[in-house]
This record gives sequence, C-alpha cells and structure tokens, in this order.
Amino acid sequence: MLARSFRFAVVTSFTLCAALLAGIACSDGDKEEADTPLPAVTAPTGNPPSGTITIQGQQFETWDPHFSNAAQDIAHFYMVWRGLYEFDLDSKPVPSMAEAMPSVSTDGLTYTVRLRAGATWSDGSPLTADDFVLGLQRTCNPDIASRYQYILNTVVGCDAYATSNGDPKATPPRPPKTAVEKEALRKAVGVRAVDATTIEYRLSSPQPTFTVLLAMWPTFPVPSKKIASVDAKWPGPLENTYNGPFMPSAYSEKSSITLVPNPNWTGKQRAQVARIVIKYIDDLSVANNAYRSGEIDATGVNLVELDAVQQDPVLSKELVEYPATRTIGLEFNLTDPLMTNRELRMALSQATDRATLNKIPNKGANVPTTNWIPPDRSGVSLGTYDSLIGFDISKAKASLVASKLAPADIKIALLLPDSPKNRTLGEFLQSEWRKHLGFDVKLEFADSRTVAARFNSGQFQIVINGWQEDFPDPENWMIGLWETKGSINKTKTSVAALDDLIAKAKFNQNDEARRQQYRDAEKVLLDGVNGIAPLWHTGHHRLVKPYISGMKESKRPGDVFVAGDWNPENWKTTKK
Amino acid sequence: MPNESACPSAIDSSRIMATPGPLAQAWRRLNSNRLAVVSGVILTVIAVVSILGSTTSFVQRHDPAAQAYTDATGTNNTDRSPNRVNWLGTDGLGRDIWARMLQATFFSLRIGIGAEAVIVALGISLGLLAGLGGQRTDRIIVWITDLAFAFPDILMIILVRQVLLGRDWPILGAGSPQIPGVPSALLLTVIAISIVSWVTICRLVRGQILSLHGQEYVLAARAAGASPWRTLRVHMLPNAISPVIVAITFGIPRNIFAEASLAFIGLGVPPPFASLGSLMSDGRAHLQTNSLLVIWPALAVAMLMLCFTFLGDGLRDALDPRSRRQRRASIGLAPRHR
Amino acid sequence: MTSYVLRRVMLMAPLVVTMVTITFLLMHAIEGGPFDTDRPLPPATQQRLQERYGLDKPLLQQYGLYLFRLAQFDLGISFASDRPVRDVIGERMLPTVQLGLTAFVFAVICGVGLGTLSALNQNGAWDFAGVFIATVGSALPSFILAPLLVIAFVLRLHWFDVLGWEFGNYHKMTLPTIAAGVLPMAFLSRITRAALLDVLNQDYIRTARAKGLSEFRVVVRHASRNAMIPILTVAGLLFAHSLTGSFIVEQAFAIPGIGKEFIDSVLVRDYGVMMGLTVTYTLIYALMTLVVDVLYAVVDPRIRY
Repeated sequence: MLARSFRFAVVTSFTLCAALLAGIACSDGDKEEADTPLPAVTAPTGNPPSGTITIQGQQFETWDPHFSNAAQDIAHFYMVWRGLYEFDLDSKPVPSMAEAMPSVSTDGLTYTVRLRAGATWSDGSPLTADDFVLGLQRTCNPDIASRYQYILNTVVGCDAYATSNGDPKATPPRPPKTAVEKEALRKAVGVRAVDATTIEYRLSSPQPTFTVLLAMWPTFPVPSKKIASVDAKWPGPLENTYNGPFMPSAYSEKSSITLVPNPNWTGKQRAQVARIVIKYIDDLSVANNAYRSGEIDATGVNLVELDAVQQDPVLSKELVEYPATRTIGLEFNLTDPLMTNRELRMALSQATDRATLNKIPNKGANVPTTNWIPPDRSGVSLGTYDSLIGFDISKAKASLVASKLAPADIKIALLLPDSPKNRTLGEFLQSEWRKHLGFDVKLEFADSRTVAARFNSGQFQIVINGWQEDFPDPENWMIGLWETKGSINKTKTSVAALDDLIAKAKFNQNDEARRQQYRDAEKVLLDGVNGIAPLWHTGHHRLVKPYISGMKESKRPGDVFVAGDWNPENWKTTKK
Repeated sequence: MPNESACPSAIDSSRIMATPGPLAQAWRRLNSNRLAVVSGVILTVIAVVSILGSTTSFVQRHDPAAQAYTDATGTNNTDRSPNRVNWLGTDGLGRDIWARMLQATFFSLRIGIGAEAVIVALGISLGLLAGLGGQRTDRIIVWITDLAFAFPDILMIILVRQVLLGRDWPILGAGSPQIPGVPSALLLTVIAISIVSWVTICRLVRGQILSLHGQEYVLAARAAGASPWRTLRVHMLPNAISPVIVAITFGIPRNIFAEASLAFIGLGVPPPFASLGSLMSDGRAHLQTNSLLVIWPALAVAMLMLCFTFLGDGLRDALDPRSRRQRRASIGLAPRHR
Repeated sequence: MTSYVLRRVMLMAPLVVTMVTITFLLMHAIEGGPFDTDRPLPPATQQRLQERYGLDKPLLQQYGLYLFRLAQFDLGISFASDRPVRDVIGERMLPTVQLGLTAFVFAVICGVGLGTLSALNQNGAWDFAGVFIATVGSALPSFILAPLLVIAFVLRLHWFDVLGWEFGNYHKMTLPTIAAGVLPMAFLSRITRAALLDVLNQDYIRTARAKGLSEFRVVVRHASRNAMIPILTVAGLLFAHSLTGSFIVEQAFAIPGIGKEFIDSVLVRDYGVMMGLTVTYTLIYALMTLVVDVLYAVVDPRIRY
C-alpha cells in the first residue's frame, strides 16, 4: 500500500513537471518589463556627478597596460588612464595629455610632444615627461615581457632592449645580457624628456601611424613618483595612481569593479556619473536576464536571442547596434598540400552563401562580406570583391573542376572552437559545401586554447578565424599578418606582390598613396583567396537602458567586452 | 518482459542459474511490481524506437542532419513549433527535432549503458580483488580507489578527453570508426565517464565481500573445506551481486546525466553526433526563444531517469525483499555532479 | 581503528604527490599552452612570457620545483591573474564554501524533514509533496533548473536577483541555494524516507510500540537513531561535494567561486591554479572518504579494518 501511493505520487509529479515545462514554453509571449523607460534628460555640464551606472563586463587579465594585449583589459585602461592622445568618435587621434599634435621632423623620424599645462595624477602630483619616458621603457623591458611590445618596433632601441634576455633556442644561442648592459640598452631606447613637459620619440624608420600609437596603452605614462624603475611591480587597481576620468574605489576579482570620478582629472569633460560599476559576467544569457531584471543598465546581447530582442517591443528600443572593426573568415593553411590549391580555396569561398550564413546560424547579427579590411578603414565599398570570391554556385563548380581534384580525394577538416554557436556554424558550412561541391568536410571541435595552439603551429587545414583591429588604420590589417615574414602570419601566406606592396606602404609618408597601396594589397590578398576568405564583419549589439545617455560608439577595440571607450566622462544617467 | 531478463544475464547466467530458487522468486516479485514493469516496458519502447529511428527511415521520417531553411512553400522553416510534418518542431538550422531526438536518445543510451559496462567490469574485478586478495592487495586497491575518488572528476574527464581527442591513437583515433558502429566520439565519452565512476562499484563490491566474510554461512562453508573459489562462486557472489545490479540501474541514467553536464561545459560529443546532453546544452541559450529545443531532451532525460529509477527500485525490492539495503545501494547512488 | 585512521592520514601525503604527478603529466600532455591566445603572439613575445613564468625550463625541473614549493605550502603564481595561487584560491573559496554550506544545510533540513514527513505520513499529502520534490529535483539537470528558476522567480515574479552571492542577503542567496541544494535534497529525502520506513518495520520498534510508548518517543528515541546511520554516511559525501563548488550554479548566477575557477583554469591552461585546486580537492575528498570509511565500520560492526 505504501509502494502504491509512492508510485502514484511519482507519476503524478512527473506529469506536473511536464506541465510546468510546457507552461514555460507556452508563456513566451507575455514578457513584461519591470522598468518603464524614463525620458532621457540632458543634464547641463558642470553639474556635480550623480547616479550609478552598472554595466556587464569581462574580468581583465592584468591591470598592467604595458603588459597587456587583451581587449577587456584595454577597455578598463581607457577609463582610468589616458595617453598623450585619445581617439575621437571618428577614431582620429586628438590631444589628451598632450597640448597639441606632435611636431614631426622632416625625415619623419623624430616626434616631439609637449604636455598640456596643469595635467596631474589622481594623487594631485603633476604629470611629467619622465612619466611617459618610463612608460615606453617599461613596455620595452624584457622582464615585463609585454604582449604588445612588437607594435613599438620602429622606436629606436626598443627591440634591442626587449630581446636582451637572450634566447637559448636561437642558432647560435644568444646569451642573456648583464644588468649593466641591459641598463645601457634601456637608456638607448629612443625616448627622452627634453624638459619637464616635453617628450621626444625617435624612430628607426618613418611610421606614419606613430601618433596613433601614442594614444594607445603601451605608451601610457607611469606614475614615476610611485614607481621608480622599469622593474618595479605594477600596483593593483586600488593601490595605483591614475590620470584618466575615473579611478577604482572598490574591486573584487571576477566579481566587480567600482569606479568613481578622479578628483584631479584635468580633461575637457568632467565626469557626470558618481559611480560606474562593472560586473564581471561571462555568460551573456545570465547578463541578459540581469538586464531584464534591472540589475544592470547595459550589456552585450546574447546573440542566439538577437531576433527575439529585435522583435521585443521594449527591448528593441533599447538595442544599440553597430558594426565593429572585426573580420572573420575561413583561414587556410597554405603549407597544406590540398590548401595550396588555389582553385580549391576559390571553390570553397564561392560555395559559401554568406547572406544565408548570416541569416540562419548567425541570426542576422553580422554584416556578410568579401572584404578583408572593413570598408570604414579601407574606403572600399562592400561587395567589391563579390564577383571575385563571393557566393556563386556555377563559379564554385567551375573552380572545383579547375582544381583538377575529384571530390572523393578532397579530405579536409575545418577546425573550430567548441561552442553551441560554432557547432551550428560548422554544421551549416558542412551542409552547404556538401550541397554545392559534393564533398564532406570533416568538422573538428576543440577548446579555444587547443585551436589557438594548432593555428599557431600550423596544424590545421581550415580554421574559422579573423582579426580585431587594434588601432584605426589599414596598416593594422596588413603588417605582420600577410607578409611572408610577418611575425603573426600563421597561414604562411606568401605572395611576392603582397610583400612588396606592404613594404612600400609601411614607410610611405603620403597618406593617400599609402592607403591606396593597402587597398591594392587587399585585392592581391583576396584574389585567389590567399590565406583568408572573409565571411563577415562582426556586428556588436548592446542593450542600454533608456535613462542612460552619452554612450557614444567609436568602433575601437575593447567594445566587445566593456563599453570602455565610450568615453565614460560623457556618460549620464537620470536614474536615481 | 524480455528486457528485464537482460539485467541478470549481464552476469554469468549459468552460475546464477545454479541457484534457481531465489532468482525465480525475485523474478516473480519483479513481475508483480507494476511500476517496475511499466518502466521496463517504456524503456524497451524508447530503446527500440531510437534504434529503429537510427536505422529505418520509416521511423526516422527525416534525415537528422538535413537542413531546410525554408519549406516547400518558401516560408521560414527554422525554429518551428510542432506540426504535421515536423512532429516535434525544427531547430535553428531547420532540422527535424524528432529525428534529432531519436539520434540523440540512441547515442545517450549507448553512452549510459556502455559506460556502465566498463564501470561494472572494472569495479567488480578490482572490488573482488580487494575483498579476496589478502591484506596487501586490499591496501593497494583501497589506496587506488582513494586516489581515483579524490581526483577531481571534471579535471580527469577534461584531461583524459583532451589527451585522447583528435590524435591518432589506435582504435580511439580520429576518423572513421575503427570498431564498426562505435565512433571514437562515443568511445571517448564512455572512457572519460567510466574512468571516474568505477570507484563506487568497486567500493560497493569490496564492502559486500568484507561484510560477507564474517557471515556464519560463509564461515561454515570454509570450515567444511570448500575452496575459496567455490565459496566465492556459490556463497558470496550471488549475495554480493544484488546491490550491484541495483547500482547498475541507477548508474546508467547517472552516466547520461554526467554526459549532459559535460556537454554544458563544452566537452560533449561533437557534431555530427548528438546526445540528449548536447541537445540540452545547445538549446539552453534558446530557452527564451525556442524553449522546445530544451524541453524535448529534458523530458526524455527525465523519463529515462525515472524509468531506470523505478526499475532499480523494483529490482532492489525483488532481489532483497526483507531488508531494502538502502544504505549500500545509496552509496552507489550518490550524485557526483559538479 | 586508531592505527587505521592514522595510517590513512599518513597515506594522504603520497596521495597528494601522486595526484600532483598525474595532473602535471596530463596537463602538459594536452594541446595548447597558457600563451596560445586567440590572437597569436610573435614567437619572441612567447619566449619572454615563458621566461617570466619559468615555463622555459625542462619539464622535470619544473616538476621538481613545484613539489619543492608545495612542501613549503607555496602553490605558485596564476598566469591568468598574475597573483599568487594561494590568494586566488582563498578568495574563490569564500563564496563557494558559503554557498556550499548553505545549500548543504538546506538539503539536510529540507531533505531529512521531507523524508521524515513522508515516512510518517505514508500515503498522505506530505508523502506526495516529498516524493514530488524529490522527483523534480533528481530529473532536471541543474543547468536547466537554474535558468528555469531565474525565469520564474526573477523575470516573472521579481522576487529575487539574478546576479551574485552575498551572504546574508536573501535576494542573492535563495536561488543559488535552491539550484545547488535540490539534487542533494532530493537524494537525502529519498534516503531518509526509505531508511525510516525500513527501521519502523523492524521488530524492536514493534516491541517498543507494544510496550505502549508514545509514537513520538518511538520515532525520536528508537527509530531516528538507527535511521540516521545511512543518512549520515550519504551526508558525508554530499558535504564534500558541496564544498568543491558547482561550475554550473556558479556560472548561472555569476558567482566567483572555485567550481567555475577550476573549469576556467583548465580552459585557459592556468597551470598554477589547476594544480592548486587539484591539491585542495584531493585533500577535501581524501578526508571525506576517510570519514565515510570510518562511518562504515561504525555502522556495520562486521566490517573490520
């Protein structure tokens, strides 16, 4: 009798469970919002900062700007530190800590920058030329092991100093330099303080984009009053000194950071928010639920729900969408026997329906493309290369025939980082290629570090990969990536004409001619699908509560993680 | 019910049939337990349908891998709700969920049963060795079980999987299945799950043997001059095996559950395969847009869990009617999800 | 018995060393290192990073160095956050232990309570409720349960918060506690119900009843003590599980605990944290196994050590 009632209860409860699940399924339509949107009111400048803005972000890896290259770190850095220059909304460098644009010598090798009068650190001490000298030397310091030192390789002596720890694996092995030699190399780095407010940078070859680098984190200043040498430990968020609009007041790793206005910020625009809280949430579906419940005021959109957000009467009004400077495509290993076949690469590119790919697996989140450099940077309009490598079944079949390969002989694998999104993407591509080209590509899923390791060591055939711009210039889309000897050319692309064009453009002082050379280089890169078949420019999608204003977007890196360079000094909230 | 006889036959049936009395009684008791019978029937139906679904297009109805973004009339065919063509609806790529569910259920059942087979083989042999092999062997095996138990499951699974996956190992190696019908993705998952789960069965068997050592009838058999092998075969094994059978029925759904948790971390079976776990974890992000993607596999997992649990309950009652031996069985039940 | 316990405690040192060795070997056998980032680093930069963290040394030397440091209770440096591993683990332990203990207490109180109510009210409403909850709890994976709880209680009812864990704030404690506690609770209530029913059918309970003792006295004095034994055994294991954190629950509520840290550390190849947490987990589990084994002997005097 006992058993019977137990079983009855179990069966009934199971039925109820099913009903509960079904109930949740059915009640999709009646989403309601706790917060009624408030009208955005523009507060006059000069008002004391008020209100708190809580946003979703991603934990930074390191607080040391001279060590980091991670986008989420950089987003934090721009909120609390500023370089000599900063980017305006058109991604053009404009003076920040500097008084004016740099004066460049006629040979293009010497840049002289004067600091703005009255610039200070958050502790009230003055910002000096020495601070910037030490900052650049820190990035070149081999013991810091900066992940981003390589962008400074035109600065005189930076590479020599950065490699002074020797290399036992080189042939012949290079022994490490002594402390005295290293000190001499540090002093030989091409940066010096002419006087307390004037800095002079010397380059080994002219670099037209050097001013851009002076707006970036590897050249940020060091509070040299506090951090005496290049080897001193970089203090954590709460112990450090800042020259940006905000500074941390509380921090808990992997949980949140709280930023308050820097009382000694000397920039043009005063901070207008009393507190910015960045909550570290990795899982966007969790963040979006927190946004819906009003716990955070801004978040990235969980892309699998993008179409639902776009159709939601409330959320669709709070959705901010903009294209990012990121291009993703199929990258080919050009040392692989099959992948060296130009026609096969063409066939794969031409058999990929980018529009449907964007619509179905990507939920319309991105911009389908055949361009490598985003149009905003190159000036080449979208679709220019469609006739060359874009979706065209008959051309794809013709290319496959021209490749002289029988479909049965084509054994290739597509490598992807494992995620629900990439599974869908991989299965989509596999199905498309089977349909149009008649062979089965093998899908390989691995965690992102494994994928990266295989990519870096050339153990792949095709991988879904791409590039996120570091600084707003076409140069950043070419140098290092596609020259035969490029330091991060992992596809082993090697085209003589491409090498030639990049080498010419790199030192070309004529801005328009330089940009044209990069446009030509892009055409050479894409003709024959050398290295990459671009698929889309990533779109960014953010939800921002209507009571927040001033979050202007400038398409720079970091936006993927935290709305860092939405210049937080412009942010306002009317929520009390 | 034919499927229930499958459980006792998992062990060497001829030896057990040597003592027909208790087993026949147990079989009768099991048959009188209506819920266990119903569970058995449901499990058989699920198993048969999923096997048929993976082999005959009559049951499968659609190719689980076939993507159709629009249907014949040109309307959107992705994320559709259930209809006459797609009984359970379609997913984000326009694939038929019914076909995918059949494929996934079959795969999950194979994971659950396959992993349990490895677990039982490893667990019983090591457990017997520990219980019978003398003090020193016992100490070594206890130490190994401690090691395996204390080793973080998830780390072990991740590490083993990462070391084995996508490399050219014999049998396990990537590429076409080297054992017909057993893809390497399945084998890998089975190994990863069983390598951390054999400990419970091993401890269970060892505990049983140690406890039976002190029983009067075993002592009596020994005193009467029975060989250790005969003592084990005739007197100890039949008595030690019933909690193991119960643990097996609870173990199978637990393995299916464990695979689901792995899928959530991103370590599930890769396409073109699908398991109930990978369906759920892929669908989880769509909970607020197309919740059917989660509901169907969640219901299937819940159904499997319940049926195996009732069957296990029934078996326990049938095999050991007087004392329900909750304690020992429960050790084998302890959830180990992290 | 004492010598057995002492021997087992002493065996923990080789256990930890073996564990470190296995993890170390497997860890270096898997593909991808800590500096194989999505965005490739130039070889020279990789080389300098390897030097910075001592990864350029031969493996054997790294291994020896790790054991040497471990003997001094130094767990090394985390590559991901550039901080001592001990600090990282200490910091992450706090929310996990708080959540684990809360969930454990919740599971014990509700599980044992429901199980007892079920057993004492066979066929009654409480029996039904207990079995219902146990069934729901054990049939839904927590990575589905957690978002369902959020949708129901946060987005529809607005009772609680999605984010975080804050000890003492029920808005932030309730849902993670339920999500982490339901499975052990379901399990405990099943065990309790069965164990209590088992005991209530024993001869000595019948004797006690026959003596005319009140039902309350029968249950509290005689039945509960014997029924507690299997419950305690299981609870020991559940306790260890709850202290090691749950990746799924921590991820679902954005709680910075060790469950999530562990998975993250493996995914980014943060060797220091991975090894540090392996050692921590090993000790927790080894201790709990010992406790459970001792409980075995206490429970069943026929088992000899």
